[in-house]
Amino acid sequence: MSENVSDSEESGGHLSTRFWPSTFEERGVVVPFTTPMLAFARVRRDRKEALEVLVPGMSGGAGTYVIGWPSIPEMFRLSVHDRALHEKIYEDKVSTPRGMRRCAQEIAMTGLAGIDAVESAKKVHQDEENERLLTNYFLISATVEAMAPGAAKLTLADVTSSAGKKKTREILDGVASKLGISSEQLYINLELWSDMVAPVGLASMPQDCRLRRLLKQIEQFSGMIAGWGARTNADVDGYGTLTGEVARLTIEIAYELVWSIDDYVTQMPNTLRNWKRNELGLKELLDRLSWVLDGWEHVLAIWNASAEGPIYQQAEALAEMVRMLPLVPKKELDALKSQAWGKLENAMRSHVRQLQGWQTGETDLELALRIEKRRAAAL
Amino acid sequence: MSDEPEDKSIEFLGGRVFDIPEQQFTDLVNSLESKRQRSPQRQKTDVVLGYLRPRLTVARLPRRPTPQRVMCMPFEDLLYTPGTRRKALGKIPRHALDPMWDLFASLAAPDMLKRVRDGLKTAEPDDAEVFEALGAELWPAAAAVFQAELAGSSKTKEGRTQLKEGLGGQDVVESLEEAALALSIAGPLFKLQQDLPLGPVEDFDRAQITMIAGCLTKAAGMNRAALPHVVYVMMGRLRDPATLLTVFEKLTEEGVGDLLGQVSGQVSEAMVNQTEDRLIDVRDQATKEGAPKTDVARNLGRELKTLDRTAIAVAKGGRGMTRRIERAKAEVGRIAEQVLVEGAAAETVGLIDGLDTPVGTDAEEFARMRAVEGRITALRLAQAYADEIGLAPKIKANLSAIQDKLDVRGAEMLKGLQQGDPNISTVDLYATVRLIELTSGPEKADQLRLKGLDAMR
Repeated sequence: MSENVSDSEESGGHLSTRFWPSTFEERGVVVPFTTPMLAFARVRRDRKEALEVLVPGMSGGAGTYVIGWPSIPEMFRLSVHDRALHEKIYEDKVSTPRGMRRCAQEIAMTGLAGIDAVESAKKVHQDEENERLLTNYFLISATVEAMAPGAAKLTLADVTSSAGKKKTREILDGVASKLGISSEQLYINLELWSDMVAPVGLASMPQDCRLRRLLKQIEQFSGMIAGWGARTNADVDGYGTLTGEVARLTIEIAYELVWSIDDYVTQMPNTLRNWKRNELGLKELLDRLSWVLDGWEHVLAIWNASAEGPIYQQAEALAEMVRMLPLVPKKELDALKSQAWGKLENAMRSHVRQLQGWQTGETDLELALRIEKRRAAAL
Repeated sequence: MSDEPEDKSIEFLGGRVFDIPEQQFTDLVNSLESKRQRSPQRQKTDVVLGYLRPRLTVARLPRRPTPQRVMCMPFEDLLYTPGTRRKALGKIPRHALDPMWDLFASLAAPDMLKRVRDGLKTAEPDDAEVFEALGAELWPAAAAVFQAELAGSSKTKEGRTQLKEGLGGQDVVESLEEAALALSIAGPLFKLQQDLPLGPVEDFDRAQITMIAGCLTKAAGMNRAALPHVVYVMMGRLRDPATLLTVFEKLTEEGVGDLLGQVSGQVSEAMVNQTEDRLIDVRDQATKEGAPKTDVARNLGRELKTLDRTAIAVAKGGRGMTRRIERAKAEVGRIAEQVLVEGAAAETVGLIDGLDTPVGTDAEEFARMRAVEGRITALRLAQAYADEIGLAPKIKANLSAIQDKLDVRGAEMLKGLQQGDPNISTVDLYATVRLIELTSGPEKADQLRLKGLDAMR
């Protein structure tokens, strides 16, 4: 960790004025707490691998408080949902977007954050299962197309009916022998690949999977918010322009990652031939993609909740969103992009202002219910 | 009464108006607009457009221009849709538009109307320049017709009755007076509407204040009696009526303080009158069968805040104004008591008991849990403003009764879990924890969660 500070767990917390992190690990992962004071919190590991939480703007300033994870229940009046989430994150030592997502869904299913969260978690679970199966089917189809060109095209029925399964197995046996590996090994590799890539899916799929969908949502949002100020005369603080710019630059980086992930399908024979090495490369790309997009579901959920509301609500939503904007860390950028992000960091520093009513420490039921709704939408 | 079952489909559409994707919504509005031009369908399409209006206001979709719409443009910010036939000061109900237009169209010079119609044929739906040019001929003509009709009819009782009957009610006559005044300063009013940000906004910036001051000065030169209408346009754009005080201060710095002094009494009266008028619909909405209690609690809270701000804005208007605001607050209190508080505990306890009855689907289980949560949340939300409307003891008593019920339920559940009762699941435990949290806060609720989890191990 690049900050020269004592470990937060031991010191009971300190103030950091760093705004632009160097690495994803330093930036931390968004924690879907429902307690208003922790609505913008992120968790990360400190130098001793213990968890610590980053809470921006607690005193209304632009700084971020860094607090040891175990101290949270003593320092904040947490909702029961957040207590359960806090325990679960601590138990599982979660500090990655993927782990946090799993944790958040599990706690959402309890109903401690309301029925919307339960419904949403169930739907997300079902969708993810479908996406996993579809990705598997399309990956097998792509394998057959690339490596057994003479074979008939696979249909969805082929991977579900017993006759179809037999046919698929025969084709894949041929592919495995071409690759010089056992059929068993080929099945395992394809299974691993499709499980790993299921959150993004394949470019050839008719329906986008979660991260590709999220990317398109950010793209739409970026296009829409760019003209929001001009349409409404209400972007006096420039939040719309700033948010749109961060979204645009994020998309650029994320698409490069998605295309690199898609390249593994395009280069199918090579991918399967050198699976061990490629598996690591793919994993790294997918991890980076989930880090780049971490937090955007929550940012969009804030906007979506106010998109059809009056203009002042949209302006308030933008002020909240600026607090949450996930800046891509310095070390993840090349020199050219770094310049553009540096400008954004300076703009954000001067833009962030105290959010009235969020940092009072009192439990505002109305606000807590609003956050619960957004968290459910972002699951 | 008709034997046919009531058609609820349009009402359903109204409830889902914000769920329609943007492109489909635009297509729907365009299609309704073109149907509306064919007169036999007009009434039906107006009803549907009425249900779409909340989103139309937010989205500000440019609508197909017609001579009638051009006539109404200068007072567009004054338009509203009351639930019953009535009219508030400084507002014009939409149901008054057709009779007003019919009156004007029957008396206006046909060649002038034809010129306007022809001019609109090639106009884009949002072409302000064309509307301003066509309005330059249409607006003074409409103002003259309305003023002449009002002046002519006011001379005798018969004349007044005739106009009232001809237009379809006193609310339309009063709307005609309002429209005549707005149209007499239509040019500067239309320009101001184009230049101000879409409402509701928090405040106006310096450039906008300068524009408003310019509009007031121009309007004063045309018709001083119509000056309040410039302020009504501002009121239509501001989120918080109390902001009008600071806007007035800024306008005074711009040198139009004397003009504002002349209208402040009328503006205060309009603010209070509009508040009283709005409460009629608030009561109607709140007492509608099936209205979600949490929404009612939220709306009443918002209404009380608006009343407080209005009270600040009209404080200089004298004790009479303040008393009327107090009476409006008392009415909010009565609505809250009737809809949110009366019988709340008994109903909630019944709903909690119902949680133990087996149901077939997730959807049913979610619905009954939502019903309990909704009842408790509504009480808690109302608790935040209970002191203001004198309901604190009653709400407290209701919440206490619900707490007692949940305490018993929690204790029994814990006992059952400790004894290994297989009929109690983690879902039951968490549902009770959630309800206790909503009623009594997270500390007590978390104790049950931890003890329950301990007992399950």
